[in-house]
Amino acid sequence: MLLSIEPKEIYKSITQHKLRNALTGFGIAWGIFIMMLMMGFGDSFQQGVFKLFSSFAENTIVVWGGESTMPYNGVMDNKTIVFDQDILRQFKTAFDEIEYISLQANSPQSMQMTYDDNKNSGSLIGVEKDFFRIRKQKIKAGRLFKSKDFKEDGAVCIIPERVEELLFKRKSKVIGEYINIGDNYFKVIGITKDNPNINFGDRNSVIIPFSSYQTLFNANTSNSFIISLYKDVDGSTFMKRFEAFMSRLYRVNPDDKEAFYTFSMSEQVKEFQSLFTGIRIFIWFVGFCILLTGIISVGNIMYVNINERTREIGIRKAIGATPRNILEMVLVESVVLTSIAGFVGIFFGYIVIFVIQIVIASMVEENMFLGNVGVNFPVIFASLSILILAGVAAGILPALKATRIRPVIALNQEN
Amino acid sequence: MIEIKNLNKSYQIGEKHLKVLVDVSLFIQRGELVSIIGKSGSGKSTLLNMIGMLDNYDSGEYWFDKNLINNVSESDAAHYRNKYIGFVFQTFHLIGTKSALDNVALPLMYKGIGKKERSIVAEKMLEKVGLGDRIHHLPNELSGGQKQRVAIARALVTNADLILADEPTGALDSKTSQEIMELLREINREGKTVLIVTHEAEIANSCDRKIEIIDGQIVKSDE
Repeated sequence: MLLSIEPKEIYKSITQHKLRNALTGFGIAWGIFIMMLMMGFGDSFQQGVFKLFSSFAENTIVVWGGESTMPYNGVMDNKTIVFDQDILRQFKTAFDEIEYISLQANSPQSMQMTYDDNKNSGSLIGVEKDFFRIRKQKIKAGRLFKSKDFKEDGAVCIIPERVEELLFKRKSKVIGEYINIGDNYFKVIGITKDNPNINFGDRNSVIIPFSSYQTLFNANTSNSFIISLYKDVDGSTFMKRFEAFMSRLYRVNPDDKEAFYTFSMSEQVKEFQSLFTGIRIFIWFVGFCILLTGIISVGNIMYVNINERTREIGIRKAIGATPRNILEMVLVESVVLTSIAGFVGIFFGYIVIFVIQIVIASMVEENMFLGNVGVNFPVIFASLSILILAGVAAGILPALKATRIRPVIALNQEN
Repeated sequence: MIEIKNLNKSYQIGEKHLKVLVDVSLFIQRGELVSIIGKSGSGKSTLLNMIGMLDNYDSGEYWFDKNLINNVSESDAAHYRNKYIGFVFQTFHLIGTKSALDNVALPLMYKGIGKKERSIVAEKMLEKVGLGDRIHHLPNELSGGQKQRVAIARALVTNADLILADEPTGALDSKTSQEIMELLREINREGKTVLIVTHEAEIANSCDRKIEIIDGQIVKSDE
């Protein structure tokens, strides 16, 4: 099908009133520009927040033991809840959803750590071999635990970089050095990178194999453990069953909220996801509102345009243009004007985002709640679709008006 | 080709009911060169608009090539105009932003003819009306006579059977008027039916047949 308007005609129509069309198009360009920036920053913020969770497996649950405060079967015994390796094995056997599980035993009190004359105090955490499969720790130097570290009852430890700074100052080679903790020497085999935005007070904690922890504190139990579930498992459904199971196992009242404390990463992620969905909807809404003012001004200009071209439309009709031809002509002009303005907005949005990328790249360290500010291509695609729809929306009423122009009246107009 | 029976047309202006055409009947055969003469406000242009399907009538019958034209849709009227009718207006009614060539080619676009072909046909038509060397000129770069020639070329370009000319010489000097009339006569000689509305007796008399209209009524029609 032939279009009833030529590119040359569209070009002439738009360039005939350059300033007027430029000012009108500015509304559209501005709307798209603002929307791109908002979406870019929204995504960046989302990336930044989810980066915080990256040090955990997606479906991580941490459980701390508390103290029972409600009677069980009529008996009130104020039980202190602790966990051991046997219990964890029972959990693993009972629940196929559990991918990895590890005790996470915190030392009862803060421990004095020394290296040469340097001192620091912090806790010791005894963990099992699957711990680092759940906690996705980035390694600054050395390595994480291997199976042999647990078998040999080796006095090895992994320290966070903050402890490295405090104990070793500027010493270049730390791996292989021994630090003294509570009169025991532990060989440093790895240094982990800090994730300062999210931690469980473990920036000062030294991690050792649970076997060493048992020897050091003469304890077989831990006050907490950590689980990761398989990816497709629904965390909240699992937790309900799991808590009921723990209540039965420990013979505590299922309604007792003080017996176990839990933290579910997937729940947190879900909450953030719904927060960001809300933010995204808000951004689209604001963007659409800004765009709407642009659409209205394009529509207004198209009205002015039609009024100015009434006689021309009459001529076109006299020589054979159908109402559909006229409708098509006005809509195509409106869509082209809107799209050009939109492309200008996208172009400048892209440039500004590019500059911001460079600036943020030089500023962003891991402690910023911002990811990379990027051009979101689905957003651009959606914006282009919106532009076409906006062009049609802006042009439809003026176009319908144009189709209703009676040639006999239009031809007698003075303009 | 055209048969009109008891055609009536009136306008409501405020509270006033103005009868513009009253029981108009006429018959125009294919290949005729006919003039409709009348004073300003006599209804001659309104009659031409009815024939050209630019306006609707209130009552009566209008037969075009044995088809009853009664309340046709805008689209159908546009198709008729594009295919069978060419218009020549007193004030030319060219599109100012388009060259002579593009103005002439425009009806072909609405006929669905491709760009290349319509340029060739439009150029030939401009050559035919003696404007082969002005094809890229804009209307404001042409004289009145040249503009009217462009308009005539545009009326002819779709090979329409009927040419309706509303005061085609009204805005031209007498020498150019004669040239334009000669061109219209030549078109008629080639087989087109030409209907000219004028208030000038000289122009009307130069046609094969003259229809006189006063106050919306045909008072005299040559055989």
